[in-house]
Amino acid sequence: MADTPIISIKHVTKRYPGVVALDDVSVDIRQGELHSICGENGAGKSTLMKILSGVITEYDGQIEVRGESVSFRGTRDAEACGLSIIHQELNLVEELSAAANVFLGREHTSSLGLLNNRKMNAETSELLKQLECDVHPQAVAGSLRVGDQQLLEIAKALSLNSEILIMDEPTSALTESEVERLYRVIDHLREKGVTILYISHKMDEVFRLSDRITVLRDGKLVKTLNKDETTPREITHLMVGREIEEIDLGDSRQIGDVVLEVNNLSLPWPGHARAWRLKEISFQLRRGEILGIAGLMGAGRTELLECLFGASEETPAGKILLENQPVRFRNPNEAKRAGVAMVTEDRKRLGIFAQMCVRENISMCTLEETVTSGVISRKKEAELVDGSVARLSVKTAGAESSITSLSGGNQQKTIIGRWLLTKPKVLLLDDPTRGVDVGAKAELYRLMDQLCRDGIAIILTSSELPELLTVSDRILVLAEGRMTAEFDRSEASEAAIMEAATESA
Amino acid sequence: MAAISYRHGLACYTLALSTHGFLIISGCNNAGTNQDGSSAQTMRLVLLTNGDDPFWDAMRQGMNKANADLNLADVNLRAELDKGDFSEEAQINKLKQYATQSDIAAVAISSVAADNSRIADAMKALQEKGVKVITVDSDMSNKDCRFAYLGTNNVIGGQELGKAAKGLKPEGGKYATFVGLKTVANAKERIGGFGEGAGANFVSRDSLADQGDQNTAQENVKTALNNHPDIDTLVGIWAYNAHAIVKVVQDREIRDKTTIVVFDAAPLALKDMEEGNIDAMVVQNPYQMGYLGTQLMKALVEEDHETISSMFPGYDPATQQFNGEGADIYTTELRVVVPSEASPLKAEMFNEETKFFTYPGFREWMKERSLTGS
Amino acid sequence: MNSGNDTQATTSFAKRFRNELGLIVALGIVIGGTIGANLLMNGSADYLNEPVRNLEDILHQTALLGIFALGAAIVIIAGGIDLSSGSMIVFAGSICGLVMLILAPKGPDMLPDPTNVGLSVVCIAIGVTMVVGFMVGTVHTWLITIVRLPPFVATLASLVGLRSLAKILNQAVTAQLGNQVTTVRADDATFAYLSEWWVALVIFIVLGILCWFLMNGTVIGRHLYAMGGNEEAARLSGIRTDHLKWLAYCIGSVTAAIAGVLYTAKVGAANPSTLAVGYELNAIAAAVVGGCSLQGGVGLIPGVMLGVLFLRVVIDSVAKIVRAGSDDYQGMIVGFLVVLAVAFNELRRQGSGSKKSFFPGILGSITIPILAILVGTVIFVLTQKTQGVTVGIVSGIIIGLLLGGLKLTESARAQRT
Repeated sequence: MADTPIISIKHVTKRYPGVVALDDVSVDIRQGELHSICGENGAGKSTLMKILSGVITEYDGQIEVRGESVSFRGTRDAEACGLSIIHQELNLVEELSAAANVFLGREHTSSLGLLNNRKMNAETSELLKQLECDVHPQAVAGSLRVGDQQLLEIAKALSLNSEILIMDEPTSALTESEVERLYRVIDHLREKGVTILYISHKMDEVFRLSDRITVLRDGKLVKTLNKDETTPREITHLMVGREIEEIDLGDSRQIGDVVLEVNNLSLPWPGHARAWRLKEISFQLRRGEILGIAGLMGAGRTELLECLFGASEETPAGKILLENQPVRFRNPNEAKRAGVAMVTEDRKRLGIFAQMCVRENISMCTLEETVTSGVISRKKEAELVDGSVARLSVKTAGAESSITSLSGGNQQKTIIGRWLLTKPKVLLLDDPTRGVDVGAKAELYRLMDQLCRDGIAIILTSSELPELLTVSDRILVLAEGRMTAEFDRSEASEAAIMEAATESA
Repeated sequence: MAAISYRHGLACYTLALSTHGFLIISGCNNAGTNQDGSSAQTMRLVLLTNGDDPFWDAMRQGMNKANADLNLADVNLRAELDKGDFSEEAQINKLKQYATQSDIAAVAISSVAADNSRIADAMKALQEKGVKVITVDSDMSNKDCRFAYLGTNNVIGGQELGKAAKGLKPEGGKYATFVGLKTVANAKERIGGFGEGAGANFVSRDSLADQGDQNTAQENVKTALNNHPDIDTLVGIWAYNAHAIVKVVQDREIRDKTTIVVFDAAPLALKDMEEGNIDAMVVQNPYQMGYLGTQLMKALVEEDHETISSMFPGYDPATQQFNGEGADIYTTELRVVVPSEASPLKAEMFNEETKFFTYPGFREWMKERSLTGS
Repeated sequence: MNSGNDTQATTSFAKRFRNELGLIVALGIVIGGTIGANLLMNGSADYLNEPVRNLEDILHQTALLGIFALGAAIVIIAGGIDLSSGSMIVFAGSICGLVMLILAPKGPDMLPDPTNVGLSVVCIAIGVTMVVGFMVGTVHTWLITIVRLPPFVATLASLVGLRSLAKILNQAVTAQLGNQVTTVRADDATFAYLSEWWVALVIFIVLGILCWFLMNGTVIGRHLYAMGGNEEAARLSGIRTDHLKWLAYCIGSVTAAIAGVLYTAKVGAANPSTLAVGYELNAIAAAVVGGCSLQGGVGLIPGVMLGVLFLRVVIDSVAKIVRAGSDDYQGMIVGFLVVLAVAFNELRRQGSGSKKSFFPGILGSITIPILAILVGTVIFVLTQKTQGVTVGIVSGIIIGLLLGGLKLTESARAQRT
């Protein structure tokens, strides 16, 4: 490791209207190390990485690469300097082939100026082989599994032969075996001397891979530590600024009678080889219980919830009984009125109304209750909303502030609050803690527990097995549209769940 | 935040003012020069056409000549041409706009729809305001809304053209007429007059309108020929219909078995006649219309009753009324133009008042007045 | 809004209605500017000499445009777009005229006499026209929600289709009645009452109040904003998005039908070739100037009404200043103003402050001479009678130098950071 740091970040500050994303951050990155950046959502990690990779070009402060001051005008400048970034949100063009995506913007051309597809395909094959990926270079990017898509992003960065690689939450969508594969790739890169900046929430990854760890909180740099000199607990403590106790949910809850019964639910999948998105799913849900649904990406978890909510594309076959009455929801409106509520998976796209304020977002599902003589009564609305905000301890500058000014966790609470106002019997939560920081996660777990004690039944999907094991009373496992296992909390283990989730037809 | 909005507000208002700067510059341009530096406002005599067409260029020339000859500038008057777009709505909007302006002294209008009572209402509103209103080129059916009509007697014009057709083909034939709008008075009169002048031997096969669209004008000729292959006489009613007819006939190479008679001498039509593609033209005199129209408007504004009665013999200056049917109509000159002396048509076949020209002679006449068409 | 704090309430009013207040100020500037220009050039101003007639005329035009602009704005706020307003206007006018013709008493020549049909026939004609408006709106909704056509495509089809249908229908029905025409006359004496300026104005104001009430105070209005802002989220929140779209597109078509009846009354005839050609763009421009975003979910009804007024005042000021041949300039001025209004809102939204560079890189370098040429050409055209080519060229060069200087300061600033 040379003496001059390969990257020197000096007093970098980035302000947005109303918010300071980075506040006087200074840190040195040594050549060849794997340096983890940890922090809650909104701590500034992504902003810092975007500045380093040339996505954000206007900021206060200085960046030095290999001792020389740089000022990137765009991502090309950063790439020319040896820096490239693998984004958390995949940046692929779904309609193009794998090779086309890898070489997007830097296509090989023949002497006549036409695309040299052969060369690009060959190089892509080579790169993918290094990554232990057997995807054909001409495969359409949109048809690949999420794990393979992520590897494609990595291939893109590798093809640049960057000396400095920034990885933003690279394992968020990967299976266990794919994560192991990624670790091998990272080890390989380190042997070649590549410096890696690694952003992650997950302590096990951070402690497996890093040399040093930097913690950001609220835009400020808290501390930079050597891995050997610290523990996951200390890092989490620094990220959040307070002690996070183990989640202790107290006495086991009282489980009541059956509120939802699903018999042989099947969802057709026209135009696909498999023909069924979901096949003959049957289970029961009781009042006061949390039912977790585990499975890999594409197993059908979201689709199952959509069927129960009346939001599926096709009409499902089979029977659904709500409180012993057969129901057939043709649209979410009917589900809502029957007492079923769903908090959707992709908060930004499917959940919040970005142009509206917090109050309008919370009251959206229950506006009818605020109406007096045909008009919405602001007073009644305010009562409803203030009650919701207080009950869920949503951190906000006020009910009139824009919803986009809230952090991810608080936005999620807002949407949950919206649905709680409908006084549902069954609450469907689709991956509710994705992108939510540790502190807010704990609050959500406690909230779910309290709701169940109040008599609501919850179905929860998650890709984090530890979370499911902590929170659920029972766990269902889906694999490729079929239900392959059902566990009680006492019988479940990560290994058993994974085995059931990877069971093939 | 406040700083940003203030600056942007300032930018917006500055730009709004600069827009007005442009308009002011243009307005200065159009206001013309009041050379004597007097503060009196120049009043405008506006001629509102039915649409846009070279026909009106000749009229503008006439107006300009009148502007100069009659020294309009000395009495703080100016004659202007304003164009419609062949729709009733545009004319109504413009008439209403004139009513809101304080510098309009008189309006001469060629209306698109003779029966439209809204146009008549707008004209009456102008009259009530004190603006003098006359019709040119095409009259309104409701005579109350204008002082007088100045223009071609389109019935006679149609008849003359019919006589031309008869003279060219004494045995008769099957014909089709082509015009922009069939609702306009001059169209109705010309088409009707043509039938009368041509006589029983000529049978009408079709009558098509193109709304002022040159492209549709050509398409209509093709449609008529396709639907009625026995058509051997093509009649153009408005100025641009002539060239549309000639173009289609040339494309189909049926010139030898088709007789083409048209109204008006549009520049393209003149060229067509020179090349031998048109057999006869009945030409209005828009130049005269423009000149006399301006003269009449000036006389009305100045209450110059002598001039008025010199133009309209049936006008009694004492009572300011017209005596007798049709006394409020001034008929402008009609001409018949044939390609050369060799044409079978002779001056005696037509009315006395109609001037007869051969093509070279007509070109001379136009040159004297710096016209490219009529 | 629920706090009792007075200062907080007033600040939020100014903030909430910033766009609308800006429009009012701009309106004042335009009117003042026109009066000033007139006084400078002619020694007297039309607005001052004929205030009543001008006010009537402008308000009448504003009301006519405003009625269907309200409908267009509601569709835009709901996340859709309706390109067919102009054609719907003429179609509605044709239907109205045709019904009056069909029910008219026969004249002496056995042709229907449309000039005296009586109040009941007029009411029936208007009623049928409203139903037709509802029908067109429903077909739009069906195409968009069931057949899944993009709104642009579905209403584009109406844009061309309705006008053509009107032409054919006019000819077919009038042929049956004895006198085939393309333009349907509609100059019944009772019907003509609708052409009074205050009738359209009253209808506009009443519609405006109803729409404001709907959008601002009711559950449906809130749901429309939600759907426009994020349709999928709205659907998954239990909102019946298909029914809401039905409502929005029907409001669009019915308001256009109302405008169609009033325009036909004003003109006395419905001419499918020329009536209301291109009006849909005026409505969309008014909505956008009034603060609506074409993405949906944003825009206030008072803003739209002010936007319509602003647009009409500007068009009238062009007529007052340029006088002869003013409609030639109209398109350019309106286009310039729409760009200005939306850019102003857009820049405020981005909040980039003093750091925004307007002419970065090579694109900026080439845009500068193009803008200079444009300005020079416009000034040449405006002054050529009195000043010839020189003023045009000189002003073009001056603008070019000014913008070039701006670019240099921008790139210097970028270098420094």
